[in-house]
Amino acid sequence: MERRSFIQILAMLGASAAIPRNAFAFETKQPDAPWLSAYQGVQHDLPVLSLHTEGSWPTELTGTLYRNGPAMMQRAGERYHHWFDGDGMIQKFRINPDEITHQGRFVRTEKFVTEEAAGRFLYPVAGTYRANSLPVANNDSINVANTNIFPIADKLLALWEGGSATEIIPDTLDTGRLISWGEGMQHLPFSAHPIRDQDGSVWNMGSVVYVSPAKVVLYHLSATGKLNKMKLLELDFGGYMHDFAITDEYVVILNSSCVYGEGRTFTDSFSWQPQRASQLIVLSKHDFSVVAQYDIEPSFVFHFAGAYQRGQELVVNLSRYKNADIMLSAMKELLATGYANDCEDATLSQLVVNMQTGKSTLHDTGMALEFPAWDRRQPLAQASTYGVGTSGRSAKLLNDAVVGFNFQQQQQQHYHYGPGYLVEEPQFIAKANSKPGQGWLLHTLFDYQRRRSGLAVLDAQQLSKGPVAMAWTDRAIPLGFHGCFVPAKG
Amino acid sequence: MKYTSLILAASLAWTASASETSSIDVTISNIKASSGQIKFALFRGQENYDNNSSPALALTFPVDGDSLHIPLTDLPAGEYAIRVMHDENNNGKLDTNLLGMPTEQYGFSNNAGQFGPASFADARFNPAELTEMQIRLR
Ligand SMILES: [Fe+2]
Repeated sequence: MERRSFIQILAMLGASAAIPRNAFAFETKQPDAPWLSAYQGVQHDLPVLSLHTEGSWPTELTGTLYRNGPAMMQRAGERYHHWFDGDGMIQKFRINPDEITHQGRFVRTEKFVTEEAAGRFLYPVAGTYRANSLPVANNDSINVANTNIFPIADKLLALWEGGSATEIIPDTLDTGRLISWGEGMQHLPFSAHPIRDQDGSVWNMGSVVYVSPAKVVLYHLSATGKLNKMKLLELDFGGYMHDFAITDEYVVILNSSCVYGEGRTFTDSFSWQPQRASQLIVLSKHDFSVVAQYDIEPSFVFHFAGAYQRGQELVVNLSRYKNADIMLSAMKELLATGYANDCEDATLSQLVVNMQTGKSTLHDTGMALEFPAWDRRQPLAQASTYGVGTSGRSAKLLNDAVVGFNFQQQQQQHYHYGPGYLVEEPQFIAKANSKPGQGWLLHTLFDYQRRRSGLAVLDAQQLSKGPVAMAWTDRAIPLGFHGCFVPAKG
Repeated sequence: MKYTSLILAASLAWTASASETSSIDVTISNIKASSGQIKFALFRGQENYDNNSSPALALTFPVDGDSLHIPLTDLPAGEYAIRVMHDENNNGKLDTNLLGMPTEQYGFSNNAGQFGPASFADARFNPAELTEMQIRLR
């Protein structure tokens, strides 16, 4: 029966529909832009193998690094044009003092399973227009679960901002069910950036721009993943939202000036509207009521680097883009040509809002920093913000450095791997019995000249010394977005 | 060759004028849950379809397997559209989430409606022009 329904589907689509041959075009670009091999993707799960280790691996890193990213980028000669589109694959690095292993498994979403059986893409995706796609029942029909993986209770959640969280079994990386947090909450967007609070509870939001008026879903979950409360908040306009921040009292969201309208795809439906102020919306953690709303400089933000209250001031750290080129054009340009020269990097910025006067000031450090991480044991005002950055010697959008910035001391740190390497999101892992601020930065990286993938550990307080330990494999592991480190028990 | 097609054209014209009705075999596929009922509604004309009222035919089927075959016969000439839903919990309606998105399976003739509800323009068909219709529940 299953087989017959696929034949029916193919008949329905018209089996003669021309298959774009763009996969070939992508491969021919690689000699001029060897870093493109990092975006090639893989066609199958990656079985467990051991990495070759170098240096001395700190014992605090005994545990597992999970990461998620787009990995199925092409089927049957058809290639996605936008990196955001690929089906999610979980990368699992198991770190022991004597061995480090890697395994990769695709998330078995409904979309993945259906397309895997058909041997071709069938559904619409966020950033690449496809003719003759299958009709979509709801947002989870096209959930690719490709953006983050987040631990809650003894489970992991594979996250994609357009739909439900997908349960992943840590030991096997098997895919469990789609999570509905409560009655009537099936298929509601649950962003890829939940935040764990000091008390272990979890906050999240979900952006719903394609309804009128645009809305944001706000979530508060217990430490064990039960819904404490939720709210559907109506917005003045549907600005792109990817992440948010919390303070002791508030949930802070940013309705960006990249606004949803009409288009052939989800990403094409957004336009950058620099004449429109972005909105910083401050909500009470107690009941999600709107405490205040401020017009701020037009901004585009994927990632926040935390927020805190300082007297009457609200301080919000962000990796801020001056426009939305990265999402609207540059990501596609990079994949199409190997270059995105016109795109500006996000810079670490601090927005300070006087909550009494409503006046806001934006301080731009000028330092390129994305995928921010920091020591959450420390008050944010004192903490250093770490992330990926650039030596300035690689092509645009290629992060070849680990960087850090301390707002209190106005001090920069960096380690430049330099051209040849692509550096991914660092995790801050506290050293044993250490003072706040003392820890390791663990990150993945891709060496596109030797086509090998690796792990590196740096001392967060001595970035410029470079990695204290590394591990490598000749396997080309697809680049990803975000992940988490889960320490070994006991 | 020319002779044959003239005969064929004549016989088609004769069939249409003699009966004025048509038949079509509808297959509903991709039924996922084994509980509840499949509710099938055939509408004649845009007004009835848009208002979701006065269906030409409204049928309810128990769920038996992942597909369902519905032969429709003696349909008077006209333009039609089909709505199908799977009332998995037998509460008589298509359940939705807080945003109004269906949480039970549904479908339309021509598998119309790329991102949700299908317009009559996309879902309409003329039973005189086809003999089979596949509707894949989503
Ligand atoms: Fe992100």
